Amino acid sequence: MALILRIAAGCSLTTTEVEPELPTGRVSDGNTLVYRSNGVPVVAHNDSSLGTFLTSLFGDNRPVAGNLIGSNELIIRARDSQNEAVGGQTRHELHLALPDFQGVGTYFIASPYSYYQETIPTKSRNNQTPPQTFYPTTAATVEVTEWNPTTRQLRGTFGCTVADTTTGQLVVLTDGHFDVIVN
Amino acid sequence: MKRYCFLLIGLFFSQAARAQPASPAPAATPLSGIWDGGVGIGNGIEIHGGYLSNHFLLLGRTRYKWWRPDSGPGSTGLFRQFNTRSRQTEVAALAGYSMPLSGTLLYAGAGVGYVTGRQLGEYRYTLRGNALIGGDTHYYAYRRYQAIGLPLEAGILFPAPKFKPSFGVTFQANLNPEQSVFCLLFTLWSGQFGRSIVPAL
Repeated sequence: MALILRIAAGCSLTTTEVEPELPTGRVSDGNTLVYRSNGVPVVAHNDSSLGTFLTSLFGDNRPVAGNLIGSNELIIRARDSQNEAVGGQTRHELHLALPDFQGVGTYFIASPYSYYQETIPTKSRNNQTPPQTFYPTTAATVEVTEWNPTTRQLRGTFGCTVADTTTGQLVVLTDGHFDVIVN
Repeated sequence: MKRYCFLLIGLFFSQAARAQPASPAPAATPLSGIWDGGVGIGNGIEIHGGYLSNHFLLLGRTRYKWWRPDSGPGSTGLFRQFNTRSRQTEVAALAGYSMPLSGTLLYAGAGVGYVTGRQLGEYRYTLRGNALIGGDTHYYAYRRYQAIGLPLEAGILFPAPKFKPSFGVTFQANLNPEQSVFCLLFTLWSGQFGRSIVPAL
């Protein structure tokens, strides 16, 4: 009987699991940094919607920022917290530190100033789970493909493996690219 | 002039009396070899066609259905985040049986159907627009599939004697291993199925 029901219920022809594509270029004409974390797309970008504007009035930092500190220390920070808070949804934060920034070129990034964090927010603001922090392993690089000192527009790509030094867990970051206006 | 008026009134009543049946209306006899087709709308939309011979019924339908994800942004609100939907398209052929009942036509059938669609999985990210209100686009991981399933349909058709179209309600299902779908649709039939149960005057 079960077999008959199974036959009657048909059969699969094709099945494909699909992850959404990463956006290219600047999203909403704001600073944008995107990558895949173990194949899962992570997108962080600034926008000028009313909600984001109101949030920024209360001191919340913009999700993506590039800061040139001193003469040649470049920090790029990106978090996808602008996504709607969904229970169980992982929040990602990435810091890329280029301590000797000279313009277009390839840079090695290293701990502790470069790191990647995953947090699973809870609905209670007072009972947040501490983030899990990962640091770049050897040969982690950022390639700056375009730098305009006048407009301060910075474009580039990155890809690396990061590790949780406590547990040894690895996360592979691939297809990374950014387009930011540096402060 | 007044006499002509009485003549006209008399003629009218005599014709009306002649039009009245001398005996009770004959029982509806199903027409053979008639076609029908139309559309349906409910928690899905469809185009259907059918062939009726005595009580034997052949149906063909193509239906599109979409629905919100179980959780995540876009799972609530009628027009909010309209772009986030699972969806399925079905093309099916069914055979079944129809039966007049109290001025309506009941029918049911089963057959074989092809479905293709996508089923949303976990929420991934949001692209925010620059609009003052809304403009967000939410992206989900999803499963794209094609499958052969078992289509089922049971419905009722209400003929409208003065008009050619008939109206109906139908329950449809497609049972398949990827994503079974159930629909309740209001249907419009533009052909002759309604005439099969309306006695000829």
